[in-house]
Amino acid sequence: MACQLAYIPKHLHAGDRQPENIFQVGEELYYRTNPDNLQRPYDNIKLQDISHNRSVLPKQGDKEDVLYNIIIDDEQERYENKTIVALLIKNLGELDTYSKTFTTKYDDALSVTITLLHDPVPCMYPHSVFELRLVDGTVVDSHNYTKTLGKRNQAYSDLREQIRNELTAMMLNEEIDSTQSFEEVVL
Amino acid sequence: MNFTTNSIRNSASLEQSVLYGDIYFKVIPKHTSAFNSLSIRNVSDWFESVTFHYTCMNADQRKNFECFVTALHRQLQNIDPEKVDVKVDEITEESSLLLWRESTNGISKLIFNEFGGISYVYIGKDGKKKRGLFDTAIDFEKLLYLFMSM
Repeated sequence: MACQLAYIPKHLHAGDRQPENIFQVGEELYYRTNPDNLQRPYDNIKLQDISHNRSVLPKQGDKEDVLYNIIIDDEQERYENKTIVALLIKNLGELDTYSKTFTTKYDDALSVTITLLHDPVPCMYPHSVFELRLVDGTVVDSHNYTKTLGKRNQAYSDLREQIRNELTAMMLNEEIDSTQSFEEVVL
Repeated sequence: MNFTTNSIRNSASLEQSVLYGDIYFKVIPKHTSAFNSLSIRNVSDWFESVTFHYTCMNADQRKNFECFVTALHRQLQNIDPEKVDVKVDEITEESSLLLWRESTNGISKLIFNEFGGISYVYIGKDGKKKRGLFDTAIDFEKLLYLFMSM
């Protein structure tokens, strides 16, 4: 589908271009958030659509591109009151992307894997997401959220908290590090 | 503590008054908007204002929070309350009460979840990351030290 928004520059249109799921060390991801929410940007959002823009795609792209509103039927062209956080990719896993799996002590059979994926949309080729995939292969999205990761029980609540912590650590340190995990604290 | 709760309730009620609400709103400082900046010097007032504001808390959360506040109260005999900059918020989706503080080293959080659990999280600016997940049978003074030390 072609981009229908006239204010989006042509070089950002996805057109026929395919996703490039090989990320690079040194590449940045841009995330827009409220200026007063920089310490805890993920604490009060649902974990169903965690979007960023890649810095290296397209080559003539700009970090300000992440401020474009790509929602059709919305008059606002840009999110002028938001601030941009740049996350530097410090290292990558075997598949040339960031990926981590979280488990919970409340349910041994349950886990969720977070993976950085390039996810072009018609009006924003650099669009990328942190995909959340449950152990049964279900990819969490806005349609299935309440029946999957959004379930209200202790195990899922624990997984959501771990994901929020991981994303907050990325934001606070402005980097994506596949190797560092949370050290367990015992009292 | 009951007196404080009642006065906050009365204040909120008076502000809703059709006849006098505007006048009251202009003259009397608002307890509700000021609660997050309320000094922790008076721990019982602070406790009441938090529990009044975060009505989402269930009995388990309130009990855990109260145990933490009791430990805090004891320690405030030894340390300057003005230097204890604890912010309060909630994680809406989880109905969790969140206490957090920021230092030059990073961010520390205590999360009182609806299942009676407590998480301690530390995210350092040097890349250090720590997390502990506890139930109610913990030493709240140790938890307090952990929260305050980073």
